[in-house]
Amino acid sequence: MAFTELIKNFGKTRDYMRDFYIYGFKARGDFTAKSARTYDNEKRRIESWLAPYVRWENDRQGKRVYVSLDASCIGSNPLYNAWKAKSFTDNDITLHFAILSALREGQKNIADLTDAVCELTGTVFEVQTVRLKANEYVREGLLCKKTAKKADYYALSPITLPSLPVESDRLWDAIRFFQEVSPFGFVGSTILDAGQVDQSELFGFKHHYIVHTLEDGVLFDLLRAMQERQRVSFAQQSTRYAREMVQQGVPLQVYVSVQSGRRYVCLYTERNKRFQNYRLDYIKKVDLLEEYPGYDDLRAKLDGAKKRCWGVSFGASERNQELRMKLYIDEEKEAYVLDRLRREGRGGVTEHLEQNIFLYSVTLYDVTEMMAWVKTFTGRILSLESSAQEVADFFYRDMDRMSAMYGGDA
Amino acid sequence: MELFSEIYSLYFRAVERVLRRANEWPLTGAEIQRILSEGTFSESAITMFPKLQSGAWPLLHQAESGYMAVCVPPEKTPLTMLQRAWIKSLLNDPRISLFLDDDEIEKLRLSLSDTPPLYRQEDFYAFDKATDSDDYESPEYRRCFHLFLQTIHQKTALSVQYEGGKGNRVSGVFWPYRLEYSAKDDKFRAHCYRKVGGRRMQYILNLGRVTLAEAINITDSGNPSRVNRSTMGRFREVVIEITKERNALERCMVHFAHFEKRTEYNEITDKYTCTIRYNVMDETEVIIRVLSFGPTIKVIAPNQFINEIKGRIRKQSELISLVF
Repeated sequence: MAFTELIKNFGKTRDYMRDFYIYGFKARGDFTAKSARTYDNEKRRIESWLAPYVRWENDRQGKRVYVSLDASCIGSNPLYNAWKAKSFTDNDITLHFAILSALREGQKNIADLTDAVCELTGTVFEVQTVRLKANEYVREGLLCKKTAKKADYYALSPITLPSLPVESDRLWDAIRFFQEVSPFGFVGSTILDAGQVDQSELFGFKHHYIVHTLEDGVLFDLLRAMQERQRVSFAQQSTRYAREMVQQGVPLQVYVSVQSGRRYVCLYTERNKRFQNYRLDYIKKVDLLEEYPGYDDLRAKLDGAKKRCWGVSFGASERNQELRMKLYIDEEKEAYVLDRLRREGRGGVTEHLEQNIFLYSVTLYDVTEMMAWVKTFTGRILSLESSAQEVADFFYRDMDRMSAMYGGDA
Repeated sequence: MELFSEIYSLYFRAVERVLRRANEWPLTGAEIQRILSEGTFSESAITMFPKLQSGAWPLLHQAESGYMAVCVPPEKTPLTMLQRAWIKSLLNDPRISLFLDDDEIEKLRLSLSDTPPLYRQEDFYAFDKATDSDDYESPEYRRCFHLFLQTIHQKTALSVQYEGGKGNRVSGVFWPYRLEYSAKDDKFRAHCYRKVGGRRMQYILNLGRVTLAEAINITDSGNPSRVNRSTMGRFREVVIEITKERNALERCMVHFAHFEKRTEYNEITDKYTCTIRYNVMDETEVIIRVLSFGPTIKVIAPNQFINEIKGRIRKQSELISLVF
């Protein structure tokens, strides 16, 4: 089959895009999950979609192709292009423009609409074919349908962006901003495309994890389940373990880490009677199951439990662990460090013990999870104690290793 | 309501542009190809033009004077259900009030009353966001944001009084050219310049720390409102070596994903080497983010960055030895 830039299935391209953008060190021979030909096609597609950001290098493993860009230097997420590359048939595009064109002058019943479409395009279309496409567009919101005297009349939907009761320039600015920061931002980008409004360099974005857009298909299904209070089942495969696992439970909330770039779904698993978070980027496909009757109670329980979580871990048994970190901070010159403790300390308490000595303490289900943050204070920590002694021991061992790693003279 | 649909495809948008123009005057083949190649992928025009030309997509009529549209898209394209649902969701985001006033938000909510939102704010929980977000509800903040946004559009200047994080006060005429948002800090910063002795000095102002801002109706003939993003500030590179321990590679690659970077695998050491390009203004943040990985990553260049890390580790060793 001849190569095409367009794709039928988003899931297939998602893994390749992620590999090219997030990792970028793999050569052709490292992509073993599918055939070499599949790799070649996916690579060519990504080169076509993301041309300005594609780089390549040659090394002993062969030619490495990867995507590299500084997300703070872009006005619009280039990965959205994958969402704008759905394949279609000749009939799809012909009917799209012919139906919209035929309805410009006003509503039509299906017979008149079919006649108009045939006349415009010089092509014979069955009434049923036009009806199917028109009904699809009613579901998508492009058309509206009303029935009069047992006949269906189709018309263009009157809801357009200029018809909304706001000053359009301000709404365009809002869309320019939210297309980058809100879930499903690519939808905003399609509004800008349709309005032929430039994506603009008005806004810049720091700590901007553009890769999240690749998870939006999974997110869409999970949110539908949450809105309908339904249980779900999903297949999940991490980069650490090749084996695909199936999880079942009640999805309650999407956990977002704005610092590490990961997103999770918090699931209540009835089998373990526990909350557990699963990475969205590892989820392959979501199936919606039956409604869960005690959904609101679970949500309330989760809101209580999250107060004892640093991030996504509920610990082994939801038992409290304490951590106390004594810090040396020059209170005159380093007030910004105290600010950071307050801003980033997630419910921990900071006490002033004596001049330039502060104690930060917190009680959590799993203090292990906060150790990455603790290490950001390297150079200021006087002591670290925890009711989970192994955590404090681990910290001191890490400090010894780092000292040795940088030549022992560090 | 489909998320992945051809109605959002760049091919459809490109054909729409061709049809609109070909409805105004006849187009040559070269003109059509040029329109098709604007805003599509690198190989799109090659595929699309023969389809239009051959009549496989019977949307154009070839006359002597050129190609004319037989189908003309509506002047105003209807919003799809998905697009309406997305806009509806924005109305519950506190940041929407930076763009629309309360009355507009309410009217918009009313006009989309039949549309369920695509997502709800309460469906999401950003657990590691800083707690001192900008105050989007504050009328002063909203006014300040509007003023900066308007000034950027109009390419004019602002008279600003500003109190920095370390208590330093600055006042003067600033030319803002971009607003930058950080998801981690949930704050806006304005990229501006000031004219000092004929030179343009770059400044970054936290909007939350602007104490006074007033519009000044002057323009700068050489206003670099289109300042090339890649030349904003100075950039440096740090090279780190990543072990396979504690899933460090995966964590590190995702964590630093928003930077421009390149990664290689070294068979001999069985480690990965990653070069990260960062803005000098963010150096302290990059240092502490590297430290957060502990001994699973090691900085191997440049010396200045290594010395920063060494200094902190040395200080840490001294503090521990003081206590024990």
